[in-house]
Amino acid sequence: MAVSLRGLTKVFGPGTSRSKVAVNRLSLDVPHGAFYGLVGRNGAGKTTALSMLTGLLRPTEGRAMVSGIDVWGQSRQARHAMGVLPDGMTFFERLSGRQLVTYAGLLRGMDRDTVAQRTDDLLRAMDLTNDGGTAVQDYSAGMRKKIMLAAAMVHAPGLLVLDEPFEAVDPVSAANIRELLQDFARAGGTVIVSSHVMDLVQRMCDHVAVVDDGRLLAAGTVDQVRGSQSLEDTFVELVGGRTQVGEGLTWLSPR
Amino acid sequence: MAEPALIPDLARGPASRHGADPSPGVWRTGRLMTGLKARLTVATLTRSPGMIVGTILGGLWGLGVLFMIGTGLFAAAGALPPEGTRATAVLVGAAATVAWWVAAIASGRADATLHASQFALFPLPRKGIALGQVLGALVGIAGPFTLVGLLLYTAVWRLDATAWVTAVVLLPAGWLLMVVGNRCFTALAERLAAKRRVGEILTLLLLVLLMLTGPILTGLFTGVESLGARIYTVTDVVAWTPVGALWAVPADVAAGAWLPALARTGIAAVTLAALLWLWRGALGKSLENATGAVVSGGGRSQVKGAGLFDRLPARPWAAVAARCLTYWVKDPRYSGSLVVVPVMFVLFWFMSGGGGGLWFFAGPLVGLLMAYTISGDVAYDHKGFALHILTGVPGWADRLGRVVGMLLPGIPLTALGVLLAAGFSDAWELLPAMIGVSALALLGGAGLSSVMSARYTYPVPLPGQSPFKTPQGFTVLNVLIQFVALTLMGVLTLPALIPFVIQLVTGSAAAGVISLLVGVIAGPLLCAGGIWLGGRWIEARAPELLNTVSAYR
Ligand SMILES: Nc1ncnc2c1ncn2[C@@H]1O[C@H](COP(=O)(O)OP(=O)(O)OP(=O)(O)O)[C@@H](O)[C@H]1O
Ligand SMILES: [Mg+2]
Repeated sequence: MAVSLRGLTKVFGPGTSRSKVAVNRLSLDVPHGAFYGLVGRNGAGKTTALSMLTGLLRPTEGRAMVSGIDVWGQSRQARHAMGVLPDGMTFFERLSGRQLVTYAGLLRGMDRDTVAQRTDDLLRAMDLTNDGGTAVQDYSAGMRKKIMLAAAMVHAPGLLVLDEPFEAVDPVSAANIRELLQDFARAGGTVIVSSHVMDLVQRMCDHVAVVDDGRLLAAGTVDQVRGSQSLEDTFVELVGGRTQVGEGLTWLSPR
Repeated sequence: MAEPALIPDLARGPASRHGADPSPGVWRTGRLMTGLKARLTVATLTRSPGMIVGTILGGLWGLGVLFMIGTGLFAAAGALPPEGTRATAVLVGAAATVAWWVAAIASGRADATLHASQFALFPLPRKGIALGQVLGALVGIAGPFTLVGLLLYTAVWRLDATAWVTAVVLLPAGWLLMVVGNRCFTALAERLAAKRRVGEILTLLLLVLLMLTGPILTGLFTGVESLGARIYTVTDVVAWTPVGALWAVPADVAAGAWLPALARTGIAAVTLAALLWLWRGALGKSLENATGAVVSGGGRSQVKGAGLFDRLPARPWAAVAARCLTYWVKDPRYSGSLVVVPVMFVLFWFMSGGGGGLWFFAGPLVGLLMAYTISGDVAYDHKGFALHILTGVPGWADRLGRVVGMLLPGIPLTALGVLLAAGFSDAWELLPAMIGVSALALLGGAGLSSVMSARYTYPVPLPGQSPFKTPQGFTVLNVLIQFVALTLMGVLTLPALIPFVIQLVTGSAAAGVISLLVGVIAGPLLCAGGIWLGGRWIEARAPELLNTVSAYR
């Protein structure tokens, strides 16, 4: 298994009145070569679960393994096997885009020529060649996503963990990146993406896991999970909670 | 006749009246914003028990300072001739006004409570926002303190009833002048700072100016001693300036000099009007450009290749060093420290009248300052530290890189301090000891910072913020951490400092050699030890550290 989560649990503020179980005994297996979609409503616990998988957040309980390596035991090896696009983080934004990717490569202990070569390739793939010398703080939201994605891939990991990679990314770039990721998966790499866009997940991923309120509701191949319906309908059915919005906000109409 | 319109006439479209909802009036807006500010103040001051303790202590401290100033003014009124009282009143008043105005530029975009751009999305009348900002100052933190301060300030006129009554009557006008000026310059600074480079340079200039106020004042006051009359000339000039006119009115009234009194009141009124007019313009602009977008003025600067990353060795620790060095140059939160150092030299030169005295400690102090700067390094990284975790960079490489990045400018600057000290004092026999103490301060301090910042952090201005921004969320522990770090750094230098002082007192060259040996041996050892221990700590607790620093805002 490329990734296996066993009883992963995160409690924020344990023992206080505001304690919150963000991820609740989550167990999940991701096979090698899978293109895995992680879907759930806002606040379902996707980012929290992925942070525990990638070593950014210590689990309250449970284990996370990458290719059999315990993320919280042999963290160095596990981190080396992963490329991560975290959500809600910003990297060193005073660096230029090219510098940021170079920095990520050098931190991983790669040699200079390889880093330079791959940085060029990645900037081209992300359509950022002309902005390579610009400070990341002057980038647009989508450009930031793309440069962080590049930084996640520079060391050619076997597993990519991408939290909402297509948020704010334009359709052309998104299509390019999607193709790139699909090629990567076909060649045996494993990709985990979280997303709200069911259409995209249905088209792009071969596996999907649905989480809600920190718990795993369904997991498997996309076809297994969705049956004969669209993934979106299955998702809404599983998660529930559709309010009668149209009736709720009758006053919301142009006068 | 006009050509047939190609573009459909929007005015004749369907009868949708977007934004036709009546927006609140001027007074209502002012009231709402004042209420908001009051709530924000209360929330800031009572966020946590630690904060409440801090609030009470800070409040007591502030009142204490005000009380001391009040007592000073009270006493001055008794001790000085009437002319002196007038000079004190005018100069203190003008200084306070300037302080209020300058504070605006210093805080720049940083202190954003009630900043106009935050309300751009709401259909509020501009005048209401202005009113809200002025009234809001009354329920802020600095506003009430200033009001109390102004009340105490009137004590300077206590011997002359007419002057005192005038001063009390003018008090609201004085307060208004300060606050409106502050708001006006805040809005202007916000416009300026929208050009990032301009904002950063302004900030650094201001830092230099603040540091030099000491010598400038000393210069003025040494002038006072030798030339008692000069201060009166200065006062007379200041009393006709926009910042000083108002504060001189009570003396005029008391002396029955109605014409100057009227003229000065006029100056103050015109100043206030001008500020209001400027403010209106700036406010309008910030309401129209409220995205908070920062322009990197004059064409985006492009970095060729990978900059410093191409020049330092291709190892993780060197990459960290290259990144830190880039920040030392580009980020005012770091480069501020670099600018401070030359200014420190000027200060020393000023205070020791050329050579000797403080100069001897120039090297060690620069070393300590540089070493202390990296004690907040992980907090300065903020969320960027996540990259270090994700890439699995070894703890020691993280620590070593930061130390090297700091030493590259740190060693030359410290050495410059030592050389200048020896040169100006013509005390070359002290050179070995000064090198020893400086080495211990810089390297030992760096080791200590490496350990401290791996576990204990404190809030700092976030990436992209002005170095003047007072970070929020200080707890008692944070203050304690800073205090302990500084104290320990001082204590660490003692083994080299004591022999140095012995040499200063007895002139024993042997003591100097001991100091040198202690410094150049213990310094690197402490540094290496700090990097090793800090590296282990950071590997053990990196996620928790990220959690702490990324929660600063
Ligand atoms: N640091 C924290 N402290 C307390 N609660 C937190 C913290 N981080 C997240 N939570 C809570 O944990 C829950 C899960 O949050 P998480 O960010 O994992 O959701 P998500 O599935 O990524 O949502 P989205 O789709 O909006 O990104 C939320 O209810 C959130 O309020
Ligand atoms: Mg999320």
